Amino acid sequence: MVSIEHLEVRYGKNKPAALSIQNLRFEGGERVAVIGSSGAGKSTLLRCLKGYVQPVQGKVEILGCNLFLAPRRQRNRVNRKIGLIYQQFHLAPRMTVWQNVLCGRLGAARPLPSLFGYFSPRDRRIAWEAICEVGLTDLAHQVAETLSGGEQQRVAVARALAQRPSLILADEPVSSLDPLRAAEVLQLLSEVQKHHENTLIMSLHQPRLAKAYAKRIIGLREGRVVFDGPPESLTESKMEGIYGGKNLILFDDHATTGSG
Amino acid sequence: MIMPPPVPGKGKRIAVHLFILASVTAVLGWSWVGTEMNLSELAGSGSNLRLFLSRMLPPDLTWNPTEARPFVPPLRLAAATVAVTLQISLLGTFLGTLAAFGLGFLAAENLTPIWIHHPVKTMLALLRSIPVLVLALLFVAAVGLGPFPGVLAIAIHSIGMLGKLFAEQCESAEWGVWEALDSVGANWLQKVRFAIWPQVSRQFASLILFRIDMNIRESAVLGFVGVGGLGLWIENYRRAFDYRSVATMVLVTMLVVLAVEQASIQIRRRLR
Repeated sequence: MVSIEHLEVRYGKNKPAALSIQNLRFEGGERVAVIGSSGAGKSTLLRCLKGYVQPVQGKVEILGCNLFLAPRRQRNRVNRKIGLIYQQFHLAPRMTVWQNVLCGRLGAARPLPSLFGYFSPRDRRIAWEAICEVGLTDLAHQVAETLSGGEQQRVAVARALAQRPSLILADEPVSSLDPLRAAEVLQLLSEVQKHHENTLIMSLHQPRLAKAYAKRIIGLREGRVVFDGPPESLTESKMEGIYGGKNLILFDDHATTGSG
Repeated sequence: MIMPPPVPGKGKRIAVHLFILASVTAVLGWSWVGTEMNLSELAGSGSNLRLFLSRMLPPDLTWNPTEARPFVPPLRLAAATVAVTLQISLLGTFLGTLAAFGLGFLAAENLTPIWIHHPVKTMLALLRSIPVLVLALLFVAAVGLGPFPGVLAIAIHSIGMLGKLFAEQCESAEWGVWEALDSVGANWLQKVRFAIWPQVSRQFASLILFRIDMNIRESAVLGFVGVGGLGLWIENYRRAFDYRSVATMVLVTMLVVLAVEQASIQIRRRLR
């Protein structure tokens, strides 16, 4: 599904590598959380998978397409199969939930009619399914900006779902939400992932949430993978290896009994 | 007692401020000398001004022709020509907006590669740099006297201004949405339509309204070079030394400009 080889990313010539990964693979249907302190390379990794960050060297292959070498057309096709969810939602301003979710179909819709808001019945059906799936049917015709943070992130999830993605990348999807909303959104993402059996890779700031909602955890430190395994094997000493500090009050073992 | 540490670089900042002050003074002084500013002349100008104003006042506000002045009175003429001035401005702004709309997006640095936005920006700057009066002279020579060359002049000038302002609005639009839509596979037009347009549409409307109200002023002046409208009659009456009629025309022009400005302000306030 996704394979990364000898990947190296640098921001600036003489800067240390922001990301340096020898070998990393994700299979279809995996639910992965990427953790690590700020600047460890979580976002860089996700943005690299979307092709928004150009590596100095290395190979990223997604759905059999070499992300940085394939012809543009092929890249675009793969691009459409990758949904992206942001910390700041990035919804189209002053548009309703429904319009925002329809935006997820832009890559597949016929270009000219879509500019005037016309989408095929199929596109509209897929978008509506996505809205149903995130449970926003009642708010469908509200302006997205007026919703709460948690609801806005649901809209973003629905927009990504409308793409019918094989891979969903969520870049700190819950960092701007309160703990309850955060748990709800992560719960939703997990359910969606299970239902569609696609791959979900999310970067999370709280190891607690990673343990609760991911099947596999990748720990990054200074751009390198220092941990890769199931949540059970993420022990306190491993955590220290990732975050480089002791006495992590965030590392609360009692809270790890969330959904599996 | 604990004193705060001295602010670093304070001496340097004072020097910079002094330098700015000195440069501004120098430039203004240069302008003062160059424009032959003379306060004593201004003080002694009262009698001339009074004479001129006494010829203009009161404005000729008769509506029906009289025995002594059997031709159409200026007020009636003004009422008829106000429409032309408005029409020049509205149509000119519309045509300018049409072109500026496309060019504005192309000129936005964040939306297009440098080999597109740079030439477009340069072109817009060139269009802006030609004074409206010169454009009007050019079009009067090309298509003849009348309101039509005025429309063209206003349109061309508006392209330059509006295109630049549209581009600036796009450049300050929030970028995340663009990337989010890029990530769903939207093409350039779709991204402009759904990520940028909702962010800038109100500002665009506001800029267009502002432009209309500026163009009414501009089109009034264009009369001096043979374009129809209020300005034409101001010029005609001035040549005939009929200053009371000039005053009427100026008065109507002021009223129209103020009215349109107020309307535009009101609408723009709603838009925000």
